[in-house]
Amino acid sequence: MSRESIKKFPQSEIPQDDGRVLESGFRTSLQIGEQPKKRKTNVKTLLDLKNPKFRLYLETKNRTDELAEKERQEELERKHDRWLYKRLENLKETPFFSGGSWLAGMVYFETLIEMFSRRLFTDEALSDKKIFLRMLVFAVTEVSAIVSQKVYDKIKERKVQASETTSGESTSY
Amino acid sequence: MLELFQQLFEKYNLPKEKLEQYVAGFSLVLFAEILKNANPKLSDEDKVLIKQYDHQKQYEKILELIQKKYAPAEWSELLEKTITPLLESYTSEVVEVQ
Repeated sequence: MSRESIKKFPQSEIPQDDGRVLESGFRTSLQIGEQPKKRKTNVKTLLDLKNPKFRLYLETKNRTDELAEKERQEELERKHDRWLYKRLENLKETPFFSGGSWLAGMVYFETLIEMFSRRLFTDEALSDKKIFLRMLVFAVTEVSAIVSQKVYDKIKERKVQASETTSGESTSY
Repeated sequence: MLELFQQLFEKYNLPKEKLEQYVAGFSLVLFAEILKNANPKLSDEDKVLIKQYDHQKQYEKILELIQKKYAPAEWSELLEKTITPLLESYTSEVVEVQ
């Protein structure tokens, strides 16, 4: 619109203020020369714990976070159980652990069998085996902790190198 | 081992009991694998002793007995050979290495 056309715009056609105030804080129309009135947003009020809307937001967010964390932990437990079952299933298939093995009659062996029969390592299955497990974990840890840490560090290093190589390749591409 | 599992599950915010349960599961498999790999070196007397120790829940004695069958370098090699595939599968199937 040119300067001329603005000047010639008939006064009667200029939209008049009908008094309504929009959500944005502006009125529906402005008089010529009138400055728009900005709505004052009080951040302090919005983030006040006494503000029911803010409280509701916080409660919902916390609940969602808790649920997400619970779901992640449950998924982790399923993965751990699957891994354990698969590993022990493989062991069970080897002649070393089959019925005629010299291991038969060992508390350790019997515990494995019992756990197999219950399928998973639930708290119920473990409750009467806690002493056995504590002693076993203690012994295995004593022997293997340093090597395990060393092996884990190597795996970690290898993963980092692999991811660096992948990202390098994608960059060069 | 608990420290290692704390590193593995750092972002999961797990209670200590849960971590201990995971360590116990892992240890069961590891112990079985060590026994399996050491089996060819064990005499009949060793096996009787191992069964006795097991009934007395003296697992550190079982591992001591097995360890004595190996030279130090060979023992480290056995442990590494046993632990590596377990941790590799655990870190890819259960928890991703960060």
